[in-house]
Amino acid sequence: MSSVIPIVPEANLSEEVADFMLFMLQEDRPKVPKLSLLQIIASKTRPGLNSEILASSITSRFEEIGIPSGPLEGGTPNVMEEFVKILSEAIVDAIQNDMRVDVAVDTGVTVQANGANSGGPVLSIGASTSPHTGTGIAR
Amino acid sequence: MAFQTPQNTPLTDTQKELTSKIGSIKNLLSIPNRFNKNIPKNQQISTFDYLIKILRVLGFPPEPLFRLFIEKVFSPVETFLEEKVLQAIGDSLSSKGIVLEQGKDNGDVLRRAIPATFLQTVKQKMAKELTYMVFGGRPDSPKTLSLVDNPGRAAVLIDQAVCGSNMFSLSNNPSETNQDIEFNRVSLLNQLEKGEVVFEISCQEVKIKLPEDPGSFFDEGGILNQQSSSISPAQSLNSVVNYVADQTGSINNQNNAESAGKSFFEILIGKLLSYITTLVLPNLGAPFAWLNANGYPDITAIDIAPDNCSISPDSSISTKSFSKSLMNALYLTLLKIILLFIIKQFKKLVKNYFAKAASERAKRKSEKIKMKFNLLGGIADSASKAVKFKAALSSLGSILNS
Repeated sequence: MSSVIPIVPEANLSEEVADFMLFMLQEDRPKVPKLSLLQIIASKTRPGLNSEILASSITSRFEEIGIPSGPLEGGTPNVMEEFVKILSEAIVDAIQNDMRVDVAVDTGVTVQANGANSGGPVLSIGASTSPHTGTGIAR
Repeated sequence: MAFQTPQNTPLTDTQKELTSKIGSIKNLLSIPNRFNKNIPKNQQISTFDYLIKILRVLGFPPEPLFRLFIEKVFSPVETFLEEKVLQAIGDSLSSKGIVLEQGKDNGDVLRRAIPATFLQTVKQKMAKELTYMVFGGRPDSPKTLSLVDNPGRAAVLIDQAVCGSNMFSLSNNPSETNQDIEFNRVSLLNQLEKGEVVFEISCQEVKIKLPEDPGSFFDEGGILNQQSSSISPAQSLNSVVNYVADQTGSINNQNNAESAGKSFFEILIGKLLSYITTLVLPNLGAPFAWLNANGYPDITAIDIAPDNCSISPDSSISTKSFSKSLMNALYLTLLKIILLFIIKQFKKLVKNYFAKAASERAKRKSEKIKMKFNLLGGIADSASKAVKFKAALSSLGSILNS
């Protein structure tokens, strides 16, 4: 049984409080900046994902939060490091083998064509009128 | 018995993968569905409890905010309480079908007609009576008479405190049965009559007695009298809270005192909301004099604002209307004070968090670039592996060339 005088519905908003604060968290999150064309083109030089490098990056930061790295006392294998290695391998493997990158190129891509006819050389400039799709592989 | 060789049948990688996957799928299926928990609103944690939970997680004690609330309600200069009381009278009149002015809210009419200062001179008295309703005491004892006008009023306040013990709750507690409530009322009556009330503070029961001279909290003798002649009701109640904290500290286990249980301040706020009708009822002369002189000569305060003992769970909507309006108005104000503080602190926390995360990310990135630059110097990324290797190796020149 609840109290004699009930709390009015407009004061019973614990769920809404949680929703609002999660919304604030979401809204205040900094947006990842869009890459420039140059940065995207330069990405060709990136080495690509490597599970060993990823695992070693993670284990190298164990010390920051007090997790021991390297073999434990008495030569016991460090299960946490093994776990990170397996996890990294599984994630990188899924990204490289299962992930699909779908690309959509919007309309308005400039098209330029050169040619000639009996009247002489012809230069034609236009824009694509329908969007196009493409695929990619994450590496 | 014949010797049995243990079987040695190792699994291939594929076989192992399949058995592990089946195991993990089975495991995932056995996890109870944690989504779609449609808990009815009245069974969910109350907004107050939830806000206090968030406040504690943010690392702030709620007591300063409770103090702000008490200061607002008992402010000798603000008219917050008076306005809420007038609105509650208006709502109660509306629930009885009385319209003071066509097309206008009764509360607005009353607020316009009656100076919103009619409780200012009695707030200290209300604070004293609240203290007596919380701690009790023999109605004719000198201790009681330093808080309450006369033994008759003291007896009434004890009855009202018992009737109001489950009048309004800051928490949703659907598991409380009628028997529990009845038992609690009887034991509360015994405690109030003795003046030894047991509070559950910070998860431990403590028996608190008022000091011999509780009037000193309210500027009536004692040490405080010499220091200040104009203690506000909120300051007085704060002194009561500090007194209980001292008493609790000497009785309670220090570990429990730090725990997340209810503090005495929270208990006091709950009692204030439950007892507010009783506290304001004798002081409604101004609004009812106006009503009597303006077309409603027979209306009395008790008709419009029934006291705690005149209200039961089965009472009509119009009987509960005054208390419902006033208690919820105070409750909403309390929530507002806490929520605004939480939003401000949460914004700060989130901003700091993202700023710190971004700066750490940028630092890690710059360290990587620096490390690479130190190793490779001005060699471009597109340079051949042999050129890069040679550049990197040059950093060890002092050893290798020795």
